[in-house]
Amino acid sequence: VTGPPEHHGKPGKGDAPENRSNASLERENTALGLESDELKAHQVTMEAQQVTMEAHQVTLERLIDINRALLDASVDGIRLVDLEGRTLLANSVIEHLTTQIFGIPKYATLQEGRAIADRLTDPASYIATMETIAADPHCATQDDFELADVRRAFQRHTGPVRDSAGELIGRIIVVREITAEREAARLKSELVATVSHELRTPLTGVLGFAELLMHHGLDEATSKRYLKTIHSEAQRLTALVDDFLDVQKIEAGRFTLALESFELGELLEHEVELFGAQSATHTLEFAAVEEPLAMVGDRNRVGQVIANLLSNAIKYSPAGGTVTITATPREGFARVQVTDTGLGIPAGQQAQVFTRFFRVDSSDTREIGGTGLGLALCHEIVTAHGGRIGFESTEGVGSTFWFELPSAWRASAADNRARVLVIEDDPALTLLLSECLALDGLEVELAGTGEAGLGRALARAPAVVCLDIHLPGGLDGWQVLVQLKANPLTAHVPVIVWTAEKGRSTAATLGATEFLAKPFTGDQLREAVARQLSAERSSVLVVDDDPALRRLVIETLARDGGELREAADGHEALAMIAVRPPDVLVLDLAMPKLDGFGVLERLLEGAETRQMPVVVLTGRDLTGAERRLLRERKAAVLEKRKYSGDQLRSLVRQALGQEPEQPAAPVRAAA
Amino acid sequence: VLVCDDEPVLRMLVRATLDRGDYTVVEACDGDEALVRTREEHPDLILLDMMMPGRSGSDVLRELRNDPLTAETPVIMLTARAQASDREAMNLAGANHYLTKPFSPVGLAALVEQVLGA
Repeated sequence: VTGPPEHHGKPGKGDAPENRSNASLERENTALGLESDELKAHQVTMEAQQVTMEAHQVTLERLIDINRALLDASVDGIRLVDLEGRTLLANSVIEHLTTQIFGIPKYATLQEGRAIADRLTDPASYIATMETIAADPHCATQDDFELADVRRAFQRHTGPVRDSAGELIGRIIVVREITAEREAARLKSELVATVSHELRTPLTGVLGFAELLMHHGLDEATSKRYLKTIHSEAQRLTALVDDFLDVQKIEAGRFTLALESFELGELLEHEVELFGAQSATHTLEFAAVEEPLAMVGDRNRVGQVIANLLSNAIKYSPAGGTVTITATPREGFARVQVTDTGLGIPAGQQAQVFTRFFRVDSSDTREIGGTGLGLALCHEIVTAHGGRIGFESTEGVGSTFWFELPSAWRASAADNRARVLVIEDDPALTLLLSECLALDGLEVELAGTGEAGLGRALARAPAVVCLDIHLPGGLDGWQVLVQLKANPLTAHVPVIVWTAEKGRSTAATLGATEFLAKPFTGDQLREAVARQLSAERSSVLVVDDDPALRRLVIETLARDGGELREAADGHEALAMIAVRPPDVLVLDLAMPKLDGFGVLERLLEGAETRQMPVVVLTGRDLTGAERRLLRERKAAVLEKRKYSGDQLRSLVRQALGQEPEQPAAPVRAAA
Repeated sequence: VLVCDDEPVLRMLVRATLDRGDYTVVEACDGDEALVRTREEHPDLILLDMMMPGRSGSDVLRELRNDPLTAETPVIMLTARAQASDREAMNLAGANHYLTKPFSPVGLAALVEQVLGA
């Protein structure tokens, strides 16, 4: 961005061709007494020359356009200056750099170029290069410079430009941004230093205590203690190596979740206990959650997220203090918050917190150990569960990190539409299918990988699953199908399998209800889904005189899909049953006119209704006789004061024969 | 001997190595505690970790050297870094020796004996 200040004189001014019109030539020629034929020949030549000149003009303009296009296509900034440092040519990149980045309003002369030096971390070296060029206009230079206020680095190449005769006519300057390369190099060397520190600490424990064991005659208790330490330090090393490998896995797109049911409150308590013992200067406050927070997810991975947040809260509050942990159930998800009163994160660095290898950089935190991988991993894990993670932080005050995971049984969907889960990686096909299914008023949920699909299905069982066999990631469609059928939460859900390859019999063997060979039409799919829905669509009649309670029951049961009808008293209920008997009756006992027992009595009279499954919802204590009666009738009983939506749904599912009577043991879903 | 390291296992290792009748080992888990305990206990030797949260090892070392009471107390730095530039920095800050993690307990005992036996 410079040029030699020496004055070399202007390039020789060529003789401009004299512009004489044909008419004046004609007059001249006549005056010279030339013959008219000769004149004509002359004129033809002249015209031909003019055509050639015009063609040249077009060529020249075309060349200028091509040059401009070429220059602007470059990612590097390019400027050509004459011997006095004046800009002859500049591409759009360098104009942008000059005006937007370096903040120079215009760059026409060398002096204006010098103003750039003031914005740099090392103005002296920038000026030194310019002086080198000034001293020797024939030299080529290369140097790097960095802006002082923003972290942006550039590399500058300059070289002399000569004309075809070898005469020096100016200088070309090429400026390339190297910020990304610099940053990558810096992160890499920092990582090496960090890994070195992180690995060496546990290694010191392992090697040190092993050496003590070898060299000293120790009593048995001491030896045992040393061995224990060696063991735990080796475990810590393993965890570190795992962290690095996890990051590798994420980079290679091979991150998988082992889904199971677990209780988030218990997991939190466990982690809090572990970390509470590690620091004498910190108090960990965890208000145990009153309600169970039932989750479906990868318990170990979620534990990893909690451990990371706790460990950070402790590490980044070196003065000690209180770390507060809360877990709150929300509509459809659970939120965990970890609040410390530590150093906080400077506002300028907050955007990078979840970036790999990022570590808060300030004089207070420089020496805090860590791989810089923890939060990046947390982010990946939470996102893979379909959750969200974030934080609020004030430097010097503290930070609150939170994450939200979809909870298994608290999914809120007052939406009565049947939900179809489509597991398919082809975006075009997915779009087509969701449009097709939406035509039938179905709610469509999409998942691009087997893991994601399985997660969604376990979090909230859909009415139908549509499953592609060829899927990216660790699980193919067959594996997903096996997992769905093996898990009591989803075993009852019909699965439509499709593939371009053979597999009809495999699909049937593994428990798929329908097989579609690719390519298939949208109508074929709609029909297949409709078949599954009508086969699966259960009908529930809710009978209660309290409209608010009816609403609650209906909204709770709506999550499982199926048809829901309601009646406000016994007579209305019997009338509706007579029209079409439901698969399950949810029955209040105390009602005006005809009460619950009256309804049950009437049902015993009809052969078709005698065996109708009933879930009794009662607000009063039952007498012994009443209990006996309900037992004989095989009615499930749920007391209103002990009401839980989960239990109601579970009882209804049992009544429908969709769920075993005992809550199933956690199922490990993926390897 | 005062040992200052934020890692409990490192402090345990130093204690297991030195606290065998010949030396009394005092522990500090961060830089501030190290300075407080140094003033209270007047250790004959300080083992100081380089990378600690809060006040780093080199900060502590600088303070020790600036205090006339501890300016002459021998200090051995414990560090994961082993590059020449780091060693120079430590020498300049006034460390007498340094040990690179992982270090050998036998080597540590020998070094401590050498420093204190002189």
